[in-house]
Amino acid sequence: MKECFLKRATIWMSISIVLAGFTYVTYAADEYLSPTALVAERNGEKIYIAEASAKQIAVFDTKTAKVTATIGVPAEPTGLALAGDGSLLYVTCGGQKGCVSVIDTHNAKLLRTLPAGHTPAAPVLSPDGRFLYICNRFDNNIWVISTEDDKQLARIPALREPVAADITPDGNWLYVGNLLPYGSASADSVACNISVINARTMAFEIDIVLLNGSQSLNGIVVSPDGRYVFAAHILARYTVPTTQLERGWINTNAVSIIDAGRKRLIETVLLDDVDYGAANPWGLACTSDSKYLCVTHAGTHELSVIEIAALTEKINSYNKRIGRQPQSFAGGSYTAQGSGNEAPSNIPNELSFLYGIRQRIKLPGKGPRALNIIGDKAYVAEYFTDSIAIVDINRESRFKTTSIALGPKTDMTTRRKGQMLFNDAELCFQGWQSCASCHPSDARADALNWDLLNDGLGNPKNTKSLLLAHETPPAMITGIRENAEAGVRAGIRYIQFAVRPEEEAAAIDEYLKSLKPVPSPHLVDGKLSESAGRGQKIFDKAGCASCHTGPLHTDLKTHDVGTGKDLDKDRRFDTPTLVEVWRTSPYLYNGRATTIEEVLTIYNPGDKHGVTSNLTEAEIKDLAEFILSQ
Amino acid sequence: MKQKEANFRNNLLRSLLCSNLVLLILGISSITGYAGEPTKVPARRPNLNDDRAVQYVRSFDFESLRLAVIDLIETFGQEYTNGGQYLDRLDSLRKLSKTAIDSFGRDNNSTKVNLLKLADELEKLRYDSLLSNPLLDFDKLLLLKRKRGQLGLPVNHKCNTGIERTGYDNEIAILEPMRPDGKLRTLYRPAAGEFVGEMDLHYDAEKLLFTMPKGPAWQIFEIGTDGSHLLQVSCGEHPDVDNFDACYLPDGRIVFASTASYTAVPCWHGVERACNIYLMDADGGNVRQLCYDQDLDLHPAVLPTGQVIFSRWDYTGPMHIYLRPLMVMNPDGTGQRAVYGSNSYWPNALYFPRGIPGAPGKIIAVIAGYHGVPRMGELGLIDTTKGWQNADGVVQRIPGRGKAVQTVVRGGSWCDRPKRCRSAFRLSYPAWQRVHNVGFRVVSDIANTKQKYAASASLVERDETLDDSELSSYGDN
Repeated sequence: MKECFLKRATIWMSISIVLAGFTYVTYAADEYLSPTALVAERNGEKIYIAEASAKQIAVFDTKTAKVTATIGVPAEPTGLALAGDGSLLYVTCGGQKGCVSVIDTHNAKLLRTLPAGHTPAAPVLSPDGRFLYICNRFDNNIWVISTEDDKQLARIPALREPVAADITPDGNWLYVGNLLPYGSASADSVACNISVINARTMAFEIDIVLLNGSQSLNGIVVSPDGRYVFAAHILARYTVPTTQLERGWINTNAVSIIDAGRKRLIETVLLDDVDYGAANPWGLACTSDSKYLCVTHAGTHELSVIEIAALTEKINSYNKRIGRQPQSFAGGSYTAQGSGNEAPSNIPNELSFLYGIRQRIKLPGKGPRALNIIGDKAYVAEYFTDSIAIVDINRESRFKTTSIALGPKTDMTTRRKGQMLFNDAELCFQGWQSCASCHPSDARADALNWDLLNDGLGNPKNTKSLLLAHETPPAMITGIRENAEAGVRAGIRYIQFAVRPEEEAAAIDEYLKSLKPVPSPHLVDGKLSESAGRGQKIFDKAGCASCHTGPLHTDLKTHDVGTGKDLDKDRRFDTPTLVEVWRTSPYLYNGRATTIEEVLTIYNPGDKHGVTSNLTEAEIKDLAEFILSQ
Repeated sequence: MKQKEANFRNNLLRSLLCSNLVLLILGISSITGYAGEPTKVPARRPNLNDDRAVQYVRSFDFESLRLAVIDLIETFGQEYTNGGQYLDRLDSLRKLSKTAIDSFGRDNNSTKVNLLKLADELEKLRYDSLLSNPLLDFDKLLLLKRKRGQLGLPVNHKCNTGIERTGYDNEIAILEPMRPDGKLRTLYRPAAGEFVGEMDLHYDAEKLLFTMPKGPAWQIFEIGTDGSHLLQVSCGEHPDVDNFDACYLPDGRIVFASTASYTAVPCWHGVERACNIYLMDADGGNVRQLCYDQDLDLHPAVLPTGQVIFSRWDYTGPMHIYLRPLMVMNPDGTGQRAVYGSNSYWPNALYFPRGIPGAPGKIIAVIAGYHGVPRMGELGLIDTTKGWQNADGVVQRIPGRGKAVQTVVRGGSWCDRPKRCRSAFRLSYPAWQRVHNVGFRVVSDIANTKQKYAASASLVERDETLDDSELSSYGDN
């Protein structure tokens, strides 16, 4: 036994935290850095770190392990791309009116700012540096920008909330990760996809469908040898009731492996161990020799170091043993022998599949997200502790880990603590998930149906966004919880299976109450479009406003609008707010409607959910446009 | 933070206490001998005579100690002070030992003196280097002291009901500081030779639970770690119900084993009582049965996740699958599941399980045989991440550095046909007593046996028609 097991005792926390309790002291300061993306120079001397809350880029000298300069950017930075010669840094920034800031790295100056779509992210440069690809998250598209004249060359549609991208070393294919599933939550398979873009023709090529339950795809990386594409995501077990957490019964955490040549899913492997989840995989990076794949776990504050050759060997020998022939056509997964895209292989269910070929390294800070590898050192941005962890991924060094503060230590406000706890899987029994697992990206929704036990068994409900949850009691789709405060506490107890101090729940309340709606991408210059303007009148005429009333579009009451089916037949549902409804597809209590149009037409046959049967197709469109503009 | 550290220390203490229960008892008694009065443990070993000194130095495991010190240096860095110095000392002592042993036998008096000195120094180095482990940053070690020969452990088919209640020379004691030369003082000594044992230290280290007989039955008691506030916790209203083997839950309640289910081990025709795990409030109220098992449920312990691990005897006799797998459940008895050894021939029994703090999925337990030994065996480190059955997940026997852990299934029942030979549970029954659950064991594997057969002309002549499966039944019986 090489490792002394006693040393692991130092990181043991679960029970002691419960017993110790927390005393929160709230300070006025709310100034944080929130490192969210980083990119390294080829020579490894400098790392540029995007600090979202501070709206700046920090220049980190790897030799002295110090921040040597900071460069302000116009809005919250979300992603970074560095020109091959290190001279120019491209920074995606901002929300509805996003932009790309171009920074001259020699004199640390902002050169110019290019327009971008709604919440741009994941900028990628072509290997020859001629093209810049950016993901406009809420416009659901990818822009191709010429770096020579800053002109936009193409807009390519993605599927839903593209947030991660990487390009093959030959510059031919851009792999884009969509954060969330698109489509009805009642479908046989619900999963987010990877969109493959032909970078030469600047056109959409194919979507690679991930396994049923895949969501929160936050990271994607192409191995430097160009053979594989790895994507980090949650693999939700939403088809079974949330009766237990042990052994991956609710959320598991996975890496999907794509054959980059054939553009098909090879396999999805779990990052979790039998008795210890590896919640919220986020960023990915490979060593330059393509030997190791590193994955950050934003929930359990860890780094996984996986041996790539051993991983593919393990998968191959498994396939050989069971005589499985993976599909070889583009866009295919191993679906042919299963039903839908269910795997005939059992690998996606095998906890601890990575035993012996992966090292889990506890990181000193909280909320590790983005990472970069220089040589055999991984640099991990720790979002909540405003720090950078440096991990020696050389086995002989025993994965020595240090953490460097990126700025002066700031005491956390209750709100910030709440946000950290919301994302923290250490709250949860065995670290399987955090609140953010089902409520990703600032407490919104995972687009899946979950069978919680608060309203009986066998009647799953679509996850609700927690935006305005505290302002619009009662909580839950059935309104079964008196308010969101009760919901937060029930979530900790019955979904995280944990007993936690009341202060933690109160901090989470604070955080959730602080959430602000993101302006709808359907607005034109911040105002209703023409179509939405017409829709506004129809909204009143069709009677929508009688329940969806007031500024938040809810009467805070429950109604039976004829949507309940099966075990929920004739059931009354809480009137949801329509604020940010553009973001929360699919719709209705069981997420069976993909679009608002469907809610207004095929799922409202008896005109009980507004009088919509007499509306023309154009009127329905206008009405939907108005609703989606909220 | 202080609280957390204290909790950690307590947990470590608890792990040490339970996992090493047997070792501790033996270790202490062999070092000190038994004495009723507090005893000062000698600074280091031992009045070695010349011969023992040779033996000690010759068998000293230099390599294990070297690896341990290197591991401590790499794990703790600066926190583990003097690491380099320990390595230097070890290296020079290794060289000196070799020279001394080489020159021994020439009947040289100075060599003998030298060896004695070396043995002394090696022992001192061992204590110095290992007890400087930064995790051993507590002063007091709670332990049980019992007279040698009075084991106080039931044989494997019995619970406490099956052992003597009194006639023990034993006490709960505290060693402080936790060094060989620490002072041992009595915390609680029963007045009339009653058994004391099965201790569980509370998270705040201010009190502990233990088992002691009261009248005709076993009961659970609590006492402060300062020796005050002795209290019977289990209410004991039924004289024919035994309560024992208790453990604090994080919420203050207590899980424990009890014969209140009024069940008994089937092959003993109802004579030997079975115990199941129960839950009660801190004051002994609201007793509730958590497990409904046919045989013995033992050793409930809280895992770092807050769940309860315990050892369960799944007696499915005629199938020769005598399992005592490790189980885990929620503290309210829900969600019971096997975590190690279910449906596997080995280990036959797993006792005194404990979770390893900070290492999810890792468990330490005593791996024991099915019969013949009272809850004794070897300490095994189990990683449920690696495997759930046989030797798949046993990553280390302690001691046993560098040795692979393998499942060995051999032997069978006297009733078995040779080719049905399977797991072995040999008792001292004579060969003519053909009882289905009493068998024999093969001590050599097939390849070795074949070689032996080949070496013996007469045997080869006689048994040349045997196939492999039949060979296996011709071993040691």
